Amino acid sequence: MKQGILTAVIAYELITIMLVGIWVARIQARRKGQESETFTHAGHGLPVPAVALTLALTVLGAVHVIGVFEMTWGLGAPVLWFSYAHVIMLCIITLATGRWVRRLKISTVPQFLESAFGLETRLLVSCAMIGAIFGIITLEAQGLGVLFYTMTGWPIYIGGIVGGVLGLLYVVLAGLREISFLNIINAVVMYVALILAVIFIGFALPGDGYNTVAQIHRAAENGPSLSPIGDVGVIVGFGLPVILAIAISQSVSQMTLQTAMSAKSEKTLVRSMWIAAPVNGMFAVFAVILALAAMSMPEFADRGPKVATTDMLVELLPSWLSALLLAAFVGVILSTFAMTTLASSTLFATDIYKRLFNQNADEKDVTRVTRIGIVVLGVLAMGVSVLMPPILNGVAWLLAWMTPVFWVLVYGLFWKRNQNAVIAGLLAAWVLNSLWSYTGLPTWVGMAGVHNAYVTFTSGFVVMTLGILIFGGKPGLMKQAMA
Amino acid sequence: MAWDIILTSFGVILVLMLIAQGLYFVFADKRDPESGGE
Repeated sequence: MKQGILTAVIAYELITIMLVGIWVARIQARRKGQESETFTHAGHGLPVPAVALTLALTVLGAVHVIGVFEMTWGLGAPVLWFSYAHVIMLCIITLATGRWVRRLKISTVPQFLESAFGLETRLLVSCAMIGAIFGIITLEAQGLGVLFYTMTGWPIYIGGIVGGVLGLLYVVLAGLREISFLNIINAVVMYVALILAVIFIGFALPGDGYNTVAQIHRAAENGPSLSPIGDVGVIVGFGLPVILAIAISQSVSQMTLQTAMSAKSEKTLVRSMWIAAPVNGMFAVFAVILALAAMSMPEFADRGPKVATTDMLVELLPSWLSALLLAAFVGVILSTFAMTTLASSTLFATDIYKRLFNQNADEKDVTRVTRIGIVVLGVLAMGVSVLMPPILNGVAWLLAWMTPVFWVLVYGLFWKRNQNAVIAGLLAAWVLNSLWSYTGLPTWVGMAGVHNAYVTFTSGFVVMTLGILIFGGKPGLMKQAMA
Repeated sequence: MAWDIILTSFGVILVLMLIAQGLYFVFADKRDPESGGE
């Protein structure tokens, strides 16, 4: 049965990706010369559904699919703060940072940093951003392998490689417009599959369905919390750090802002919030309900947090629904894999290749380098993912790299610009981030358990603010324009 | 249980979106250079 599910899902993904990719490539070939940055920014003409669902699915990846099942074991329903953090991030992107970059008419976030601060800031942030996004690609590749393994028993490395190849095809045929069209299909498949899975599991549960699940958890001595909000301890210990790490770091990252730059207009972005935020936010809600159901049944709970929920889905759902659900989960991870490879390759092609080595490069050259970058980074990520530690261990360190960039963007636009101060702030934050993860520094200073994002966000803020207060700077670009 | 979690979470998400939209209306510079403003 599992082999049948696997074949059906891979065939479905391959056929959809190829059909949409070839169709979009033909449309774009007909529009040649009528729009700019067709491959990397969809000609800056994406409509509301494409922008909204691409934003929603870009930040809905392996951690949502695999991590939420596992995290529910430790935190119960308050794990949904992870989802609320993504909702806040999508609100910030669609109503603030995304509009700013759209208005600046830039192709990459670091491109703005050169006009605001200087070439050194651009290159520094671009290289760090490529590294941080590459880390996320490796996590997504590993996530694909783990997902295939838990739902079909396929070896993780084979799943990672097959998933990686599908992820490359998801973007390399026609770029951002291909990703956005595929995302519209995947969002529909994802919600149909999730809602049907929750309903079918409800019927398959013993006793009075989900009411029995709630009774079992409430009766247990150390049962999970069933409140989607939780108590003050959970909000302070989990909710706020996760909001800081996700909402701040991802709202200034190229992987999300590239879609915002590609929106048809600022109004398109503002309207897309009403679709992007709930589509992203509600995914984990269904995942948490399924995980709580698995936790209430000893035959699955005994297998542990890593595989209990997926085992329950595979064993209790009919084969066709298991296949649909696996297709939905794979689609969700592929969309993130594709967008992250496109974003990091766009950074390389624009900020490094074109800016440093070939300033006369035309769109064809940049597209060619972007395509090569996608394949190289994707293949490298597949290789590295086999050697990586468990997915969740890397996320805190990776996300924390981008949090100080938030201050660079805000100060450069609305306060003062001083290149030395922002570079000092960035370097201080990045060094501390690595020391925080890989040495005994947190214990030594009595702050063990404090999330990396707090450290990078605060240290970046303190160093940049002091630097600008002491040495001054030129007015921020928006401030200057409004004066 | 399932409905409680779905409705409460959706409520939280809706409140977050409304707060964000409120802040946008109060503080954002809503001139859209490409469509001549809102």
